[in-house]
Formats: sequence, C-alpha cells, structure tokens
Amino acid sequence: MTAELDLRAITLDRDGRRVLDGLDLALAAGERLAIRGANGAGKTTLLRLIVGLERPTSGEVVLAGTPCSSEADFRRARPAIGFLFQDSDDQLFSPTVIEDVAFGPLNLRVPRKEAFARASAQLDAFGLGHLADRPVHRLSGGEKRLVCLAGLFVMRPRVLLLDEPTNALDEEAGARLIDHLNAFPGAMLIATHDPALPARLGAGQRLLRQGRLAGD
Amino acid sequence: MTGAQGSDRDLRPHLIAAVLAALAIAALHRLPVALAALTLAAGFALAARPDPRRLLHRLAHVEGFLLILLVFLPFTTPGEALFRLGPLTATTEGATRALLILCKVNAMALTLFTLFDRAAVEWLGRSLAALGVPARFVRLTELLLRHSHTARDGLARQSQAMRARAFRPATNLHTMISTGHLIGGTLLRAFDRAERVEEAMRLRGGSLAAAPMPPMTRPAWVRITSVAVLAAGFVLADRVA
Repeated sequence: MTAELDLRAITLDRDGRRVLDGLDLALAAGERLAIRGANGAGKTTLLRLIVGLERPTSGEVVLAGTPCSSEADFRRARPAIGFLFQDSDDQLFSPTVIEDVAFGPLNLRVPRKEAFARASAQLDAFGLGHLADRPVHRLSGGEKRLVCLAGLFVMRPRVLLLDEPTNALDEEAGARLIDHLNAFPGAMLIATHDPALPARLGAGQRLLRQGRLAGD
Repeated sequence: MTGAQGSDRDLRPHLIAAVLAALAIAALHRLPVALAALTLAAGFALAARPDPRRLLHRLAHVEGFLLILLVFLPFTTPGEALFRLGPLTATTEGATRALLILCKVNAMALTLFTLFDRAAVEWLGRSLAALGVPARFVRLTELLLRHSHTARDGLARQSQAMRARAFRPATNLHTMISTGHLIGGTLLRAFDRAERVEEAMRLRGGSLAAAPMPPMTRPAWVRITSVAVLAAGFVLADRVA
C-alpha cells in the first residue's frame, strides 16, 4: 500500500543554517503521528515542505505515491491534504464564516450553490451553524480555529497537517477541537510542543532535533 | 527602501537634496537639458555602485507607470505629423513631450535611488522631525513604513494559505471574489493591528517623540550646497540657452 506521504533524505538550508538534515518520514493511510520539538526546531518548516510552500535543498517529497517537485505537482496533491495553520488569522480571509468554509470546495470547482450547501452542512456538523454569517475577524480564538478546521474538513482531505492545533486555546475549545480531530478517519501529522496532545489524539511520537527525527 | 543597507543615518541632507533636485527637475522644459540631467543622475547612481538587480527592479516600477503615457502622448498631442499608424497620427510635439517626461521622471527616480538606497529608514522620522516637519506628518510616515511591512507579511501568509487550500488564480468570478476578500481582509486586519499598536503606544506613555539630532556636519552642508548649485545650473541652462 502506498504511503500518504513519504519524505526521503530531506535537507533544507535557510539563511546559511541547516534546518532539516537528511530527514526521512513516512505516513501511512489513517496513521497519526506527532512531531515534537522545541521552538525553532523546524516543525512548521517540515509541514510547509509537505504541501510545497517550501522546497527542500535536496531530497524527495512523495505524496500518495507521486514524487512532487514543481508547483504543478504540489497543486495536484494539495486538495487531499488539509493544512491547519498555527495562527488562524493567517488562514481565514473571507468576510464571513460561510464564505471562508465554501472557499475550498469552490477551488475544487464545485458549483456555487452546492459549495455553500456543503459548507453549511459542515458548520452544522461542527455545531457552528449559528456562526455562518458572522464576520471572521469578530470570532473568538477558539471559534476561529474550529472554522479553519471546518474549512479543511469540507474539502474531504485524506491527510491533515496540524501546526500546534491547540495553541492559545482554552481547555474547552481545545477539547472540542480534539473531539472533531478524533472523528477524522484520515492520516494526521501533528507538529506540537504540547506533551499531552499526542496521547489525546492517539498518535505516535517522534522528536525533531537537529534536523532529524528520533525515537518512537 | 526595503533591504536598505542602513549606513546613512542622518537623512536630513538627503531629504534637502531630494527636494532641491525635485524642484529643479520639475522645472525643466527643454529636452537637451532634461537629457543632460538624466545622464548626470545616471552617472551618480552608477558611481554609488548599487546592487544592479535592485536598481533595475526600482526602475522597472517607474517604467511601468510611464508606459501608458509614452504610448498615448504622441497620438493625443496636437501638432505636426511625425508618422501615421492606421487612422492615428503621431505628432512631433507629442513625441518630444513624451521623451521629456521620460527623461525627467527617470532622472528623478535615479536621484532618489542614489540618495536613499543606503538610507536607514528607521531614521527617516527622526530626520524629518529635526527638519521641523510637523509631528503629525512625521508620525504618519513612520507608521506607514511600519504597517506596510506587517501588512505585506500578512498578505504573503494569507495567499499561501489560499494555495494550501488548492486555490488557483484563473479568469473567473471565484478568483475575482477571492482576491477581493484577500485584499479586504488584509486591510481590515491592518486596521485592527494599527489600533492595537496605537493602544500599546498609548499605554507606554503617549505619542512617539522623535529623538533630537545634532546639528548637520560641515560635509553635509557642502553636499547640500553642491546639489543646490547643480540644480540652479540646470534651471538656468533650461531658461537661458
């Protein structure tokens, strides 16, 4: 069975510093893995590299069995990969919640009416139906994060990349997010420095240190 | 002024020289004199040994604006026919005027580039204040510099987030709407942030007070005087000859 994603001997230099150094990582369908590491260890860079927002200095990124090196390659792979940004404000950009959630399906060329119907259903599934017409910049931090996640789920991805998903969320908002994530059947790669999070998601753990992954 | 080297801190001489040069170049009427001004400005710009890519990048911005003018002026100014293009007639007067504007704008762009390429932008506000520019204007300039950077960063991160959600710009309604949202969202966020910065500034004890600067040095005065002489020379040449 082909891995959802397969990173082979990835090296990445930035500003004369080696951020990733011969890193190997494979994620099977439905597998959950947490990458832990200190601030600045390269966790975010690793996630960005998977969706092609960053390119390796050397090494290979293989997504669903297809080696990806150009923007065109990554463009084909991106609909199947949902990326939850660390700062929700970077992710939400539409005036209202419903428009932001419908943005993904519209990118996948789903007809307008159906895209909004899907977005609406997704919000209802998250218990966020009442927020549909709210301006995104007026939401609370927890609501923003959930709306971001709804915007990813509605695209029906096979893989989720989560960058510090519970960061800056209170206990309750964090728990809600984790409930939704635990209902997700696909594969999951989580970058976090929260020691409790991997267990709550039933995810394996690897440590990112000095540009390589260690431990199980 | 992004990526400035920051080696020049007292920007008062630069600012004064820029105003003098702008006044003189704007006053030029005759093509040969404007051409001479352009040549001199190019000479100064090259003598400063700039990063050629940055220089070309800056000039490309200017040329982009000029292009429309260069194309339309020859055909829209009345005068003696120079050549015909289908039903359109280009005039000598129009072509001359287009060339004059091209020379003047580029001379000014090169002058500004030479003066400010190595300027430390953080010192701009202080230098303006020391020149007696009203505090409100100084503050506007400083905040503009600060916020245009953060807004640009925000714009870059959001367009990446859009790409990560499989957005592909195309000629369709969805792209137009999304681009509108992107720009509107960036502005909205920039306003919010500006308000927070303002609040944080107030909490730390009120407004930005520009630090005082020592008097300008003698070499600075010499440079300003030579720019003034050059500027006057060009205007005289333009009027007298």
